[in-house]
Amino acid sequence: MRIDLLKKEKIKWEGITDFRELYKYLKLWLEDNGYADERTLEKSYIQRAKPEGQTQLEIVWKSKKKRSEFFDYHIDTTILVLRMSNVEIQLEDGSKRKMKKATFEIRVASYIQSTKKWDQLKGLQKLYHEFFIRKRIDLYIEQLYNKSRSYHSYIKKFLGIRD
Amino acid sequence: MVLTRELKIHPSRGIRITYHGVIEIDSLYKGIKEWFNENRYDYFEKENTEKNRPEGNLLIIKMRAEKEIDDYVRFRLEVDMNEILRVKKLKKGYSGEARIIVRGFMDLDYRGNWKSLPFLFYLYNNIILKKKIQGYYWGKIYDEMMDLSSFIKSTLGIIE
Repeated sequence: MRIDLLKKEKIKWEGITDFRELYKYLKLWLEDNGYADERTLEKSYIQRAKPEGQTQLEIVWKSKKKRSEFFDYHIDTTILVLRMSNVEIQLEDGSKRKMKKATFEIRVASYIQSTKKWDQLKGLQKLYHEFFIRKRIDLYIEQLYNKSRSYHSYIKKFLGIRD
Repeated sequence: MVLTRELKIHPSRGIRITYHGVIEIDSLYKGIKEWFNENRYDYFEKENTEKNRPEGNLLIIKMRAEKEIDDYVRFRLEVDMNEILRVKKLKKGYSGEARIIVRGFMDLDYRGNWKSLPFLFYLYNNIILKKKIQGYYWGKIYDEMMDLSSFIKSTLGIIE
């Protein structure tokens, strides 16, 4: 059983940002909120060299948090960076800072997924659990909705997009 | 009219609002989100794109909201700010061109309980529940869609 909440919501920003910091802080957000394990978070990291010294990045993160013996929370993040090049900007204090100029596209999906234990329930046992767990599922939906919205807002704030 | 799983409430391809002038984008965006919240809709953001251009920024914001009325009926509203062009910061607000589309939908059996019983589903919607759908539910979602549309127009300063 799967209940989808955020369905690949897209955030796209064309401009300059500190991508290294963005990458680090998104990972930290997921880890701090109990969704990520450094070893299992990143499913794919593909870097392609493009003409004129530009780079293309495709990163896929799949994070999971155990909610109960029957249900897990999932937040999946896909980061696509196109035409990335290095730029140097001058800060107010006169110092220079290296940043990245690119088109950054981040998609966030969140869903509740039943575990194997739930899927293995049969007959009266399954009816019993479905009856009693219905209200709890509504609570789970609300919790994951708020959490994944918070993550979505965090990304937008970092990029300076209105939220 | 045959009642199907998804019913379009909006006319044609949606209520289109075009505006050229000073736009308080932040208050429009936040205002629409607050409207959804006050009317007990769950908010989702399908897309939020901002592109920097020399002639002014381009914004594309696609807002989605849904509200479960009961176990069978769900209302959905969509606001697409398809292109907010040539956005330039002024002393107060931004100047630009905005093209906004508002759409409303009613979903029947959104939990899919009747998916495997299409004939009974047809009978239930088109005979048993038809009066309530067309009288009560339809009126409600239509009013909310028009209220949202009026809110957007008043925020932009368009006289209705």
